[in-house]
Order: sequence, then C-alpha cells, then structure tokens
Amino acid sequence: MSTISFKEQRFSGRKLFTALCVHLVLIFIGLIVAIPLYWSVISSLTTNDLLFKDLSWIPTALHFENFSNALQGAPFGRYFINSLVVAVAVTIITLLTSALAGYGFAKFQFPGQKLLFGVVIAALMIPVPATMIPSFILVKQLGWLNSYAGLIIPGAVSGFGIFMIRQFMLSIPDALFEAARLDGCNELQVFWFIVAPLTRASLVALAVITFLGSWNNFIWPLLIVQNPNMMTLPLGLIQFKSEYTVNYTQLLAASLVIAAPVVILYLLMRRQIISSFASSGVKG
Amino acid sequence: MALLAHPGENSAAPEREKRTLLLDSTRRSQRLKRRKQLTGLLFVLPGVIPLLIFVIYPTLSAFVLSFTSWQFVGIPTFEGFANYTSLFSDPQFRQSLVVTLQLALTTSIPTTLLAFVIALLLNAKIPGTGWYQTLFFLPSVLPTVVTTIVWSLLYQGNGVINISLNLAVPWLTDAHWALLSVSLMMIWTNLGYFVIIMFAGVREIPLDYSEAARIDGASTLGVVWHIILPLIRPVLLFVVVIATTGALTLFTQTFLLTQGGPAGATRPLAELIYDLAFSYLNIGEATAASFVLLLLALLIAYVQFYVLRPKDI
Repeated sequence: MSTISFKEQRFSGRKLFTALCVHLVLIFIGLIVAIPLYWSVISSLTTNDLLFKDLSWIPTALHFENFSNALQGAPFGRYFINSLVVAVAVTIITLLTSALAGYGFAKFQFPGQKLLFGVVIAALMIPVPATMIPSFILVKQLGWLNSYAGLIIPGAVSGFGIFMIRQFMLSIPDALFEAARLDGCNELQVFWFIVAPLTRASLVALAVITFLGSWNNFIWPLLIVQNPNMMTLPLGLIQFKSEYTVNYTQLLAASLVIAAPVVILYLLMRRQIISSFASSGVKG
Repeated sequence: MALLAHPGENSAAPEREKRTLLLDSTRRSQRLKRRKQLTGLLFVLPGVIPLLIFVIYPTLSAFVLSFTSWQFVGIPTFEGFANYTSLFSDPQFRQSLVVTLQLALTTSIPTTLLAFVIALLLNAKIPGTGWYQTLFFLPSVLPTVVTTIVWSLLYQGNGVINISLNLAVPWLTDAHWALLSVSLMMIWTNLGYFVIIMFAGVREIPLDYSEAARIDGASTLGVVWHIILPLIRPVLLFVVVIATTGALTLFTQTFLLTQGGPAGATRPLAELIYDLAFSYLNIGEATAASFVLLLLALLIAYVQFYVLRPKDI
C-alpha cells in the first residue's frame, strides 16, 4: 500500500514539474508576443519626448488626450464608416454568391460544370499581386476609382469561398433537399430554408474570415483610392502617419483605435474565429 | 418499345396512346432535367461571372500586356519578349526573386519549428493552457498596418529593442539586418496562425499510438520523433507551402516597414511589381513580373495538389 501511494506521489510530482516547465515555456513565448502589444498601449499614453528617452514599463502619467488629439488629426470617423460599409458589403456579397455557387456545384449537374469549376480553382490559386495591375486598370476603365463600387465589388470576388462552401455541401445528403422539393418548395426556397441553415457553421466561418480580411486589407484601397473621403481605416492611418511623421504617440493611439474593433470581435468570438482559421487552412 | 412487337387490330389504338404517353413522359423528364441543369447553372453564375471579370480577365490581360510597352496612357505597342529579357537581366528583379525566396525560407522554417513545439506543448493536456492559443493568435487578427507601425517604432535606432537589450543594431537601415527584421516581424505575426494549424494536426493523432509507444518504453523525444513527426508530416509540408505562398503575396509589411529598402534588400516580388507600375510607369515589365509571380504560385499549387494530396488521403 505504502509503495503504491509513494509511487503515485512521485508520479504526480513529476507531472507537476512537467506542467510547470510547459507553462514556463509558454509564458516565455507569450511574453514575446505580448510585450510589443503592451508597449504600444503604454506608449500611446505617454508623451513624445518621453517615448524614446525614458523607457518605463509602468506608466506614471496617462495622457488620454493623445487619443482625442489623434482622432481630431484626421477624419477617422469617415474612415471608420468607409471600412464598415465596405467590410459588411463584401461579407454579405461573398456569403451569398459563395453559398449559391457552392450549392450549385455540389448538388447539380449541368453542361460546362467542369469548366466553370476550373475557373473557381484557377481563381483560388492566382495570387492577388499577379493581377493587381490589370485589376487596377479595369477598375479605372469602369470609372470605379475612389468609389464604394471599386472597393466592394472586386473585393467580394472569392474563389476560396465558393470552394469552401462546395466542399462542405458535398457532405450533406441529397435526400434532405428532395424531401423539401416533394413538399412543393421551389429551388430558391430549398436553398433558403434547407441549404442555408444546414451550412450555417461554414457560412459563419467564411463570414469571419471575409470580414477580417476586408477590414484589414491595405493593398487594394492603396491602389484605387486617393480621395481622403473614400479611404478605409488602414489607408487613412498611413495617410495620417505621413502627415504627422514625428508624432509617434498619436500614431500609436490611432493604431489602437483601428485595432480595437477587431480585438473586441476576436475576444468575443475567439473560439469561433480560431476554429474558422483552423478548418479553412487559408488566411486572407 | 417491346410492346410494338405485338401488332394487333384491337390493341392499335391503346398502343398509340401508350406510345404518346411514353414519349410525353420522356419529354417531360427531359424538360425537368433541362430545368434542373438550368437551375444549377443559375446558382453558379452569380459567383463565377465576377471571377471571370475580376480574376481571369485580369490574368489574361496581364499576360497580353507583358508583351507590350505601355505607360497607362495611349495604345500599348507590341514588343515581343523584350520585357522578359530586360526583366531577367535587371539586377533589381533578380534581387527581388532572391529576397522573396529568402523571406520564404527565413520565415517558414523557424515559424514551423516553433509552432510545432508549441502545438506539442498545448497538446500535453496540461490544465490552464487553453488561453495561450488566444494570445498567440492575436497578432494574426490585428490589421497588418497596425502591427507594422508598432514594429517600425520598436526597430528605431533609439527604439525599445535597442534600449532594453542594450544594443545598437541598425534594424531597418542596414541591408542584412533589414531582411532579418522583416522576418522576425513576420514570425511574430504569423506564429499563432501556424500554431492553430499545427495544433489541429497534432490533435488528430490518436492517443493510443503515443501511449502504446510509451508503454513499450519510448522516451518523450522518441515518441515525438518516431510517432508524431511522421504522422504530422503532411501538416508540416502544408504549413511550408502556406509560408511560401505568403512570401509571394507579401507586400504591406515591407512596403510600410522598409519601403523595400535599403537599396531593394527587402523588396519582395509583389512590391517590385507595384514599383515598376506606379513609380516607373513600366506596365510591360510590371505585368511580365506579375506573370513570373503567377508561374511561381502555380508551381507551389502544383506541389500542394500533386505531391501532398496522395499522402494525406
């Protein structure tokens, strides 16, 4: 009896030691991840002449006026609205077209299907920089520079979305749709009442990935927007940076304001977001 | 049709009726089939037509423009392979190819190794490790513009890194250091994403395997080397593929951190394309470089589909 309990104790002691070591390693890496973020938060609350001279990890005075000053330094409200309009529109359009096309490819047979699906796969593999110059020219010819149309419509085109939803729909048995059809549903009703609810999990995953991708997108707005009224937050922030070159604390304050919606969304939906990225295997 | 083989006076009329009925039903089923085909097509088109307009057409147009000389105005003139020959003899382009490859290697290998170790630690079923993943992934969700601004300040000559570690490293102003600086920032940003992918892969491995090996007297390292590593190989390769594709599309980070400098030392292909088009107004060479980038992307896609797939299915 005594030997067994001794063994158990030793075993749990070893386990405790292992757990401690694992935590130490993870905390160390966690600190490396967290320190730049922590530094940017405390630095956004200090003054410019203190920022580089006196590095203090615990702030002594909090200058919240950096935030109000930064927000007055550029039309961030306007940038915010632009970002929100674009990200919401891009997400809705991507979800709708991806769900419809994913369903069409997974559950119907029609002539030219292979060719059209080839288009989806090709679009999935063509990286953005390979097409950015001709896309810019196209949008310019369409007269969409400096417009919501130019920001939204090319941004809502997603071979990835169609592919992802199709893969998911392949796993749904046809019998479910047939039953609804026999009950007199037309195709759009089948789609809306049967297909969409069944695909909800992957639609939410696609929505999260699309929204974050659009909110954080920098290169496309950089290409097609010069008018400050049409700038999104990332582009507006860089505009602000080039105008206030040495005002680092305000630059950090503005950066944090831009990151805030994403951080809040992330903290609220962290499980959902992490599993979305884990299952998709593709990051925007 | 077999019914037709029994002609008879009395049965002629109902026979004809049956035939028309049969024809009618095949016609109806054909009509139904055609309707179903049309429905499928209609479901697919709103997704596919924009792809044709905003991805396929620009790709083809990049290909066509790469054989011309054009400055955004006037009519492009045909130049044959001139853009490609001048591109490949251009030291800037060759440097950019090398930089892209260097960034791919210097970010993918450390990130993959680190993420693998972290995934194993997270998988050790130790209580209280759940929230680390949330922290590690945070930089990946933040706007790239924001993380890059933060790092551009950290890397200043009199910035936090140099001060707190008592260094005087020219992080962004020296060619060799600048490349390392970009890599370090990329590793910091993408580590969490790689951890998530890797952790999902490690969790798939049945526990019995490693426990059986453990009972047979294998050490922890032995289990990792002989059981986990071979099983997770597809995930490892997948992660390397993602990192390489990431280097091909890398733009924002270098554009904001170093503007590709000093002297092009950190200018990846995507940024070179941007510079060729918008600084030099050389659309011909810009689209030729785009096409080279596309070929590299297709090569990676080929590796992903034909080299990785057979092993993991």
